[in-house]
Amino acid sequence: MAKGKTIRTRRKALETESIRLVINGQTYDLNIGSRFGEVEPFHTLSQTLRDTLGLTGTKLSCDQGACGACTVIMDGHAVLSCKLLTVECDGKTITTIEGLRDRDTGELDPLQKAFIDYTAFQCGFCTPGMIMTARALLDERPSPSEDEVKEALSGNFCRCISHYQVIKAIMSVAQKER
Amino acid sequence: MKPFVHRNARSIGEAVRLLAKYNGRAKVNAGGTDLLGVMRDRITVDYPEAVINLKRIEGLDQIKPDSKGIRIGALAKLADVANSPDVKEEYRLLAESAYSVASPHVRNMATVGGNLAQDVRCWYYRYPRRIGGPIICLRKGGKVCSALPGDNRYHSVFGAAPLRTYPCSSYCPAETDIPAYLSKVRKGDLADAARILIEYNPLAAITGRVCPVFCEPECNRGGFDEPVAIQCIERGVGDYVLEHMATYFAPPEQQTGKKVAIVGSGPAGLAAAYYLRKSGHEITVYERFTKPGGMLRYSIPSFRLPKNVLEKQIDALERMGVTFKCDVEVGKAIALSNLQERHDAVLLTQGTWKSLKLNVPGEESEGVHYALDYLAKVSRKEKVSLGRNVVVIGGGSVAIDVARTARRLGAAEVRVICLECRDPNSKDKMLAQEREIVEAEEEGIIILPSLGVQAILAKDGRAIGIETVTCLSVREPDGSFNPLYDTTCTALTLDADSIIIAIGQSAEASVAPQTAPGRLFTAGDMVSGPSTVVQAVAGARKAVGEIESALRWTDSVESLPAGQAETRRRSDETDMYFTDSSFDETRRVQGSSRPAGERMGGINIEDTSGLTAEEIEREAHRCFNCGCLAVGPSDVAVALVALNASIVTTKRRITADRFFRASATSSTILEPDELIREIRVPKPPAGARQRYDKFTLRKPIDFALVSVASVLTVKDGMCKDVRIVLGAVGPSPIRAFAAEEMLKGKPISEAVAAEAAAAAVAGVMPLGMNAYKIQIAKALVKRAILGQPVS
Repeated sequence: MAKGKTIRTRRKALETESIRLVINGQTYDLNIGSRFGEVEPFHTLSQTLRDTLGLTGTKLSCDQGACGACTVIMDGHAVLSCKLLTVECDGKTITTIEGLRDRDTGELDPLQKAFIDYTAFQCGFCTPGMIMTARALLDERPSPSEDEVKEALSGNFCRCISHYQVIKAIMSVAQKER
Repeated sequence: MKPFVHRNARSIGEAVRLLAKYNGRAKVNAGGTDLLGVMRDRITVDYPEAVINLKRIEGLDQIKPDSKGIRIGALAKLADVANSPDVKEEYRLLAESAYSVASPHVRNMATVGGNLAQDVRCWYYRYPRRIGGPIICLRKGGKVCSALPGDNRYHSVFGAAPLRTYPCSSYCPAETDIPAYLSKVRKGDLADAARILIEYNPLAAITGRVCPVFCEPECNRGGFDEPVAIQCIERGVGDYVLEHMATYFAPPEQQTGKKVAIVGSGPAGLAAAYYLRKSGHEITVYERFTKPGGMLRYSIPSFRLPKNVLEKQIDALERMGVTFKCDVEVGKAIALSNLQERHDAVLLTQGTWKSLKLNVPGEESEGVHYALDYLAKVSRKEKVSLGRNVVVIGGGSVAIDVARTARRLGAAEVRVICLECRDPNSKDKMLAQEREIVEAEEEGIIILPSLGVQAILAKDGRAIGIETVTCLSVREPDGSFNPLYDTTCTALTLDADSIIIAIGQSAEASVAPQTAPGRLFTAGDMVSGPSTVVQAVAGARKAVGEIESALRWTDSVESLPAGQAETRRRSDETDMYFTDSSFDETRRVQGSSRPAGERMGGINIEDTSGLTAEEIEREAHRCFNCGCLAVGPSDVAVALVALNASIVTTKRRITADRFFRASATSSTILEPDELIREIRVPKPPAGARQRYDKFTLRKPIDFALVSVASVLTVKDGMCKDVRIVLGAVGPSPIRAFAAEEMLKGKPISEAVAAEAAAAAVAGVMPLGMNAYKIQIAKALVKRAILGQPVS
């Protein structure tokens, strides 16, 4: 009994030593620890993306789960990377703004192009979060109604009031993908 | 975030084991949308040592309809609940409530279980560092809810979540449920207040006059302006009890046939007589003096405790059927063994009547008196001539009582000398209450502190004065008595016509209880050493508990009042169990002392007047009735109560209305090692109108200001059945029973809806800034009944 328990504990210790994240198609094996390049148990995914992996396209604004700037796509859903512990994302597939362009041709995602075409931003800080939220929506529902777009984006704040252009941009892609 | 240990639980069993292992020092993480913010902002008092991840537990996110209703796993995401065709189809209210939470991103992450167990939203609680310095609110282990006197626009209009212990009650030796009886006084219900108070203290008219008030210094109101004048209220209620003694001291309905003898009729004896008689035993109280009352009669002067109050108290007990046998000294006139033979139990409450001696030269001289003898003689109206110049030795209440008595009886010069210093904040402070000392000084009594008596000077066998040395220190830092003197020189030599020694008392050795198996009990000062009336009452209640269990009559009486108090707080008229916290800016009123000149008129004029019923009612309004005024934050919770759902935890299955019983530290009844496993929602009546209406300021971040969950069955325009639950207006969801009753069987109309809306908010107790919630709640309820859109 006692022996079995020790083995189990040891196995658990081994398992939690490192985590694997698949981000934008690339596999990252990250050790848990406090050394450079390692992930601490109390790191949020947004911290890891920006500080450990240098993927600074994901923005951090409120860090409270209220603004949507840190949105990434995990397992197909738009989620807030500031409200996730990195260690709890072990084994997950994550897409950030850096992963939207075509890996082979380098061509921008249609949403990214549309945001440029419609100048759907001013300062641009909320834009990665907006685009990731819209991408998750279009992946699930390629031709949403305008109301559905508004609903999906209701957790993305923009202080420059870019929302009107954002909706136009997304609707333009929605119509194309239809 | 600060560091913590991270553990992944693979099963709910493992999660519970880990929780138990960390014993309150771990948190579970389901969705993380609430917890990570709480941890990042360090909202809770204790930062968790470990975080246990629940995300890897499989099979807890199912949404499964069955024949009885629907079962939803604790880890089901709010987005999945809101979008589930099964939920939307038949449990629209639940879908709407889940959908109303925050933003789509949050709903993609947050779970049902996490939503139900989330921490409250309150400015004082969540952002203490951002609103002008740290605020340690009640929920954080502080003493008071800052929302009561502060900004309370987002707080409860239905009272506060109760504390487990109240400072006033916990410092009262008798553990009197002060907030409970003050609540009744506040409502003008003295009868109920009396019923509560007498349970803890049958001598309230007496303690209301002479108690050194352990409670008031602890009162949380003291941090705002001045403590509530609890003693004055107690005195008012205590007098009410005696005025209505026929009600409160009625003979017991059932007799047990057991006989108990009580030896001594001081406060402990009287209190024990009350409790024992109340449970139907036959009680005889033996008193060696000519009249009952013990120290109450023979030691406490009538200007503090008028004799007629004591007489009424004894009358009341006689009315209950307690027999007093005076002038019978047990051990002399009657043997203790004789009493034991004739009774099922004997309780000794003989007090401490032996005066301590100074043990200095000259103590045997004529003109040297001991405090208790002197006070007893005065009580018996015996004449004691002290002369015009009196020195009292001692720094406690008895010394002050003696000095004031002597002064009132004509001594021109009365001086009190004591070892202690005059500074009320020193470790060496006098034991008498500050108020008594000040009043004595007003009466012309001179206090000479920090002096130790070295000798009593005598001439021809008669005392003529005292010689003293300076006392440098009275107590050790730990409080133990160890006086240090400067004996290098004499400090002060005083002339005196007589000297009264009041340095303490002890039990008379002769009454040391002979051991008799299981039938002899003791209580009061003879157990505790010289103490106070309220401590004697507490000691009596404890002894009565022992006697009752020895007689195998009931379980311990002592545990009874506390248990009842909890029920009382919870079982008021409706299902409400919150405390009616209040904040009233009026100033403290308390009984005023007569001017010193009037007080000197004699020893039978009561110094301090009582308050009128109106005044104590007003003063009771000053009681904060401490509790946490934060509102329950969960939207799903409100829907679950309306849908009559149950919550299945790792320990039990419980209905939603009982699950969200908030206390001042938690929004649910979950224990530290208990987890929500799933929710079960029974099928609402076919065709019932369900809706969740939520009024907020900014949707993605703010929580409801008011929400209303309703399930309404209407047939042919008539309301057949209805459940209405209000959210964000109380510490937990508030079921609008009155509105439901009102609606059932009525045709739905504008007028009926308005009436039901008014009934839904009946009994509200709005705070300074949140009465607007009442209007919103009424509007939402009305629209829900009429089926109108919210906006």
